[in-house]
Amino acid sequence: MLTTTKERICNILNKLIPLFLAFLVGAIFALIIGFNPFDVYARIIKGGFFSTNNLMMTLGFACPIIMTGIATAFSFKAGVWNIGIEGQLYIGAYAAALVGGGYYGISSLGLPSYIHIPLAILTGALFAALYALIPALLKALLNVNVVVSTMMLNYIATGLTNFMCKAIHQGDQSYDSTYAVMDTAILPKLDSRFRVTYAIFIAIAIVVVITFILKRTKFGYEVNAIGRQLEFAEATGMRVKKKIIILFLVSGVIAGIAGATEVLGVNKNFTPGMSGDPGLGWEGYFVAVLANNNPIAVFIIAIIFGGFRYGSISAQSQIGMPLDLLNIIKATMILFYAIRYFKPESRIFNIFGTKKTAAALSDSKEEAEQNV
Amino acid sequence: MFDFIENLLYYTVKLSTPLLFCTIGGVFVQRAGTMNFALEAAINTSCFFSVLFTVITGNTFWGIVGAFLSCIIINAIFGTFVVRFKANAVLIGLAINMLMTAVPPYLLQAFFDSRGLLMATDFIDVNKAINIPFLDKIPILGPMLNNQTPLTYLVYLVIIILTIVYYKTKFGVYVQVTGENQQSAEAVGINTDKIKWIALMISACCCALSGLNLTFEQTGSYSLNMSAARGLICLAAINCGSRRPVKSCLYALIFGFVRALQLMLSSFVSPNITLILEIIPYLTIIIVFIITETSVARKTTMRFFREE
Repeated sequence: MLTTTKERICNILNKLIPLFLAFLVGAIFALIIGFNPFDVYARIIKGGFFSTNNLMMTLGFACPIIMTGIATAFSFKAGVWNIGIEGQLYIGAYAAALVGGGYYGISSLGLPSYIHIPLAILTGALFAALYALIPALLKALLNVNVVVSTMMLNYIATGLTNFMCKAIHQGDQSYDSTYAVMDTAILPKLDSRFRVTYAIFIAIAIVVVITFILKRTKFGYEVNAIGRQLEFAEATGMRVKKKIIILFLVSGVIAGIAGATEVLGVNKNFTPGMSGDPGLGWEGYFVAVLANNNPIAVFIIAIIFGGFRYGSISAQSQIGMPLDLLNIIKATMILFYAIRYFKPESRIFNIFGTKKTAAALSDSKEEAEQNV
Repeated sequence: MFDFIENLLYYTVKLSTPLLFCTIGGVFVQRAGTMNFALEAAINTSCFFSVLFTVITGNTFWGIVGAFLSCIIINAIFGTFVVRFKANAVLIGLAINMLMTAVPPYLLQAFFDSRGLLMATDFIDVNKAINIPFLDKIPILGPMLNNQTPLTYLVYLVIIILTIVYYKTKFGVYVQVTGENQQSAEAVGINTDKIKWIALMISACCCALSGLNLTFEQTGSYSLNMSAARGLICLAAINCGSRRPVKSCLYALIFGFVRALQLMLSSFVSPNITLILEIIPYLTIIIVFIITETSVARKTTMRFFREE
């Protein structure tokens, strides 16, 4: 009983301290360029969460992040450092934009929207999954370092879609984008005023399905085992290579859906910089790390991050705060999150139990008072 | 055609310089058993702070100081988290990369009103080419090696020195031992943390030089993400070269050659086609990975084919 409370306290502290430190660093950066950090944070939080309208916008921003977060978390769970979600998202978004935009004679088919929308999303998912197959095979067959290969494939994906968009599918438009998505392929919004589309239900479904897979199925159990110790999993007869390929494919499908829904519902066309800064895939990476690869936690943190994203936009429009402040805070959060500050077995907790520490504590209190 | 080859070789040497600096420094860290993804951030930081300090002070000397200081700080952050607190190196490396892609645009937007570009061409003279008279007379090597910048010549000196350090000194051997088996290294009394710190500092200095080569000898300005995945390319080179200095540097030269090829080819084709050429360096890395890892895989996992 005592150990569990200790562990619980440790867990909470280990999660809160990075948050605090990251916002502290963010505050220092805000001060450097002459902003009041409290003002900035208040605006961001107010802009992101403090009214129904803002919350609806926040959900719109959070929706793709939920999916990319789940995609990242799912492969991280197996200890596979798949950070190629960004590239897969681009490929998926591009494929969906082509189908949705009616390229290659799709426009003349006259598809009704209940076929056109799923077709576009599934095409996006398919191409993203195929793209994810490349690092999967490299890892499974040749044991290539996943981080390097997926990172390179991210650059290739952005370069490739950039080229295709500008050189082949731009047509006679003056703006670098594909043709606008046809009316039958537009993913409807919950309310035309807000950013959030029906994709949020897809996102929720993905969270539920992935949670179920991880908690309740044999495959989920094996993923966990592979994540804990690959060699042991291999030795007990789990076919690790096959599992890794499936993992990548599932991540790819989810990333593709994220890109497709973003194009069909929000942007309405593909632009080379559609993913923003940092990309949605990277937001997903942040979220997955902070959520410790737990799908439910991913869902919650992704919504918070969506709120930050929208809140920082309103903070920028109100007081001219550079958006990059949020990226600095997020990166520092990851940085500090990687350390375990308190361990259940560490001395601080042992000290609490003895009289000696009570004395030590009071000493330190006195010191603190003197310092004040 | 002959001109083309000469130019290609010239640009190979020129564009390999930052990669070589980064690779030879990174070899030590990598060999000491730490996956250092922060190489990318270190180059980016060096580029940014060298230009920033030069613009602020109007003096290139402080730019150089800024580059070295910032790189050392970046690697010290990496070291503090990874070596001191034993955090996950991949996580920390990626986080530092993120941090350093966010800090420059943040400061630029706040102080210089342009989010992506900082010009310092008023202070920095990019034309630092050294003309060595007698080199011109040698047919292919002459144009290839002549008229390069000082750091380009320096990098080969650095490679020689660090290779000697790596193979012939106590420190170099300690680095290898630390990477091979940390527990054993500690058991025979090697202070592995100290070894890792020294390796990180060597890497920091090399990355600073790499960034300085980009800003002071090639562009004279800072543009957003100008490191353009060079750190990762170096990491790939180190991986492919199985963490040996000379072999890794050869791979870095290959990647430099590809970049030069991309640059040369893009002057012949239409602007749209140049966009597809941009992915060539990254594609090359994947292909090189496939080639090198296939031979490794054949030796280890596919051994049963050869046992009879």
